[in-house]
Amino acid sequence: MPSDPSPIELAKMAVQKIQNGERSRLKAIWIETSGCFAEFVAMLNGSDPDILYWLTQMVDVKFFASIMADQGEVAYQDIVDVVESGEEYLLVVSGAIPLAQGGHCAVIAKYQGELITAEAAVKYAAANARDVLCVGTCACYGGPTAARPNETEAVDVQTLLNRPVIRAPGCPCHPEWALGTFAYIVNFGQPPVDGDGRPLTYYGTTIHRICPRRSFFDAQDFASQFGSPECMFALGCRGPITNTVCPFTRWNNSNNWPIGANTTCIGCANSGFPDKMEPFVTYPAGGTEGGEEDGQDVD
Amino acid sequence: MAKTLIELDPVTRVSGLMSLGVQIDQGRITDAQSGGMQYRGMDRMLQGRPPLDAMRLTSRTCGICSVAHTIASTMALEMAMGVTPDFNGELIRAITLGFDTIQNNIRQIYQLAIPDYANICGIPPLFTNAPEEETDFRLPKNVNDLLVSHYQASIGFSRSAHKAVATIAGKAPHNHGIFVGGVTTNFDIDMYSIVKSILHGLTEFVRDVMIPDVAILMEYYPEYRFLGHGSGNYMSYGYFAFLPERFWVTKPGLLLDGAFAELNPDLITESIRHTWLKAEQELLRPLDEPPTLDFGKPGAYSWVDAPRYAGKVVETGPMAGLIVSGDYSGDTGALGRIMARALFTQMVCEKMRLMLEYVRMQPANQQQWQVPETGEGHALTGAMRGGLGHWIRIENQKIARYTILPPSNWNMSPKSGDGQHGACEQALIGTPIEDPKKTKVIVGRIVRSFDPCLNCAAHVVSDRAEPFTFQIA
Repeated sequence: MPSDPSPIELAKMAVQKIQNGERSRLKAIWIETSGCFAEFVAMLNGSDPDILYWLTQMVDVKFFASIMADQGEVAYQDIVDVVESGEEYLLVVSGAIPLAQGGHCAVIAKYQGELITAEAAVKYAAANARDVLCVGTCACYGGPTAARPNETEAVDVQTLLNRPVIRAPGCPCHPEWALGTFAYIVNFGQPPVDGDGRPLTYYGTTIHRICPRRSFFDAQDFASQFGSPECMFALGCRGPITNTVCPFTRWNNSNNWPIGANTTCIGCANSGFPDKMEPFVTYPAGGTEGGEEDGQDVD
Repeated sequence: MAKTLIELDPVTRVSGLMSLGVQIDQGRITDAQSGGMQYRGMDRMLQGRPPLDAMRLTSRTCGICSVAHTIASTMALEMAMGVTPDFNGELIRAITLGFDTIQNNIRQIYQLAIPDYANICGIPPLFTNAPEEETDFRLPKNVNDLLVSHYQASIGFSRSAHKAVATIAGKAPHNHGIFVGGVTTNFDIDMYSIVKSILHGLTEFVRDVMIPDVAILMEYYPEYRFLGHGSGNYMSYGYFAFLPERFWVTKPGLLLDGAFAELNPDLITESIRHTWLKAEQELLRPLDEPPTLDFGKPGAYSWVDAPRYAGKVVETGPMAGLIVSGDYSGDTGALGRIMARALFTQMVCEKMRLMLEYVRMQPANQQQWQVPETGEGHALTGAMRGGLGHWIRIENQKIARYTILPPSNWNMSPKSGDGQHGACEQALIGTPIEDPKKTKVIVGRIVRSFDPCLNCAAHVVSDRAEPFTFQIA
């Protein structure tokens, strides 16, 4: 792991600054557009910091449709109030932005008699936003929502806004990556990012470089089917071209992750996921086919 | 009194984008329009892709019920490929689905529904900014405080349910471990020990905290035991019904006009009369010719289509499943639906405990699966929100057609061509509204009891477009 402060350390620093009166919590608007709504589920999966810590100590979230008590027009009014307040705020987007059908493939609200499309809401809320943070591959790159044939003509947020955004991809984005990125923004402003706007702490290395199965790769010991303990390069693993720290953070506070489940990485945090990451499995020649198991040396 | 139209858009605290309009006439809801406000076209997206990728891609339909989609997709593929999964793999799949269901149901009840009844004070944006005359909080402070503390505690429990999913299947949402043949993980003592401990904690929380909390809501909001009663027709695909009967939580079947009926998938149709879609025919069947997008179509008000069973509106979900199985005779209003969800969750815990007595530590049943030139399969299986159907047709070793028909299409549908309102709409119509200022609170409570999922529901039957070609990186 790079030597940056851990997410919990960053979060504690943010709280310290707030308690010292150095700053009030940064206001935030989280707009969920066209996607599978896994990002709010992943946020609820966060721990150290968890979502309550995030809400009460890190940012002042004014709109987040999946969890907020307000409903109807009064909920959308919360967005308007922040945008028109003249105060600094952070815009967070999860989901892609469909442009077909006048943008009506994702409608966020009805406000003063008008349907507010995701396209309109994100453009409106971005205009005065200090920073724009995209959480999840759909907001970052279009993701499954914009996959071929992309019937709804969905685009990613940076394409829509034509301004730089911070990208925290993943399908979904791992909560530790998202919450750590929040912690950086709250403490220090713009995190160090790569050319794609991805925070280096979480996206600065490929899975392959730090994969626990790397020794199998180096020994050219390859699995020929799922369920096997060796390197899955020959099965089409996208670890070599996927920049995330999955091998370090693992998933859901478990010690498991997709490669730990004896399957290939499918490159879910990449630009071009899923179209350019498929097929998700390619069986190499010379393996078993309906016969005895090979390489299932599981002790 | 004049007719009043009251609109609620967005309906927050549901999965996906939703709108709702109700018409009030003489103190009663006389019309209701449930709108799914997003469309993604997952079914068309799947066409031309490698069939084995469907298990990963269909999961992306939904972040809160992803395991259910993976299982339905895997079962449909196995039928199309002629593969029989191993029993141990099926048990592990069921345990994974069980944990995802517990996760979903804890979050539905605490994060999505309870803020309608308890004031989650102190934590913006979890409490409402609506004017006081539009709210209806009745809990005494000590009871409200108790529910707020349980709201906070529930976050750790639902998170641990997803830890169990990841322990078995790699990651949640969007797992990797469920695959053709069974699973890909080699179930071992480490996994067994972790998930058994997590299940124990979840079982205690559901039994000792969640069910009593819903009972508290019923005590302070008694009319919601009855308000929100739906069509009275119920449908179940059977929960854990891909396992032997001793593991079932609910059985497949229907209660139609008061009588039990066997489930026959051929009786499922989907109407698009009031959906922003157009096709040559108005009534569609799974794997049928496609509609295309038509926002603004006269009379349409939703991206969700209107599935009907034998032409009838049916409700699906935990309560529907328990009623069909003869295991629930309680209230059938909004809080009845939520209580049934809590009781269902407890039964899921019990069946999972039984499964852990049968599961064995053995290698995954995996090999190099061969995709056939052609094939067709389907799976109708029990998900968190009720019956979930996946249909697949394989041609030239690619997905030619794929149809996903999730439970929220049944529950949240608009009117069908014959003018019948959808299940949730029916539950709203007839509701007395004594004080119009409270309308949004009342309808919000009724709608959320269905646990709507509009990102799931935004699907469309596939078309006959040529398969795409794919670059193999």
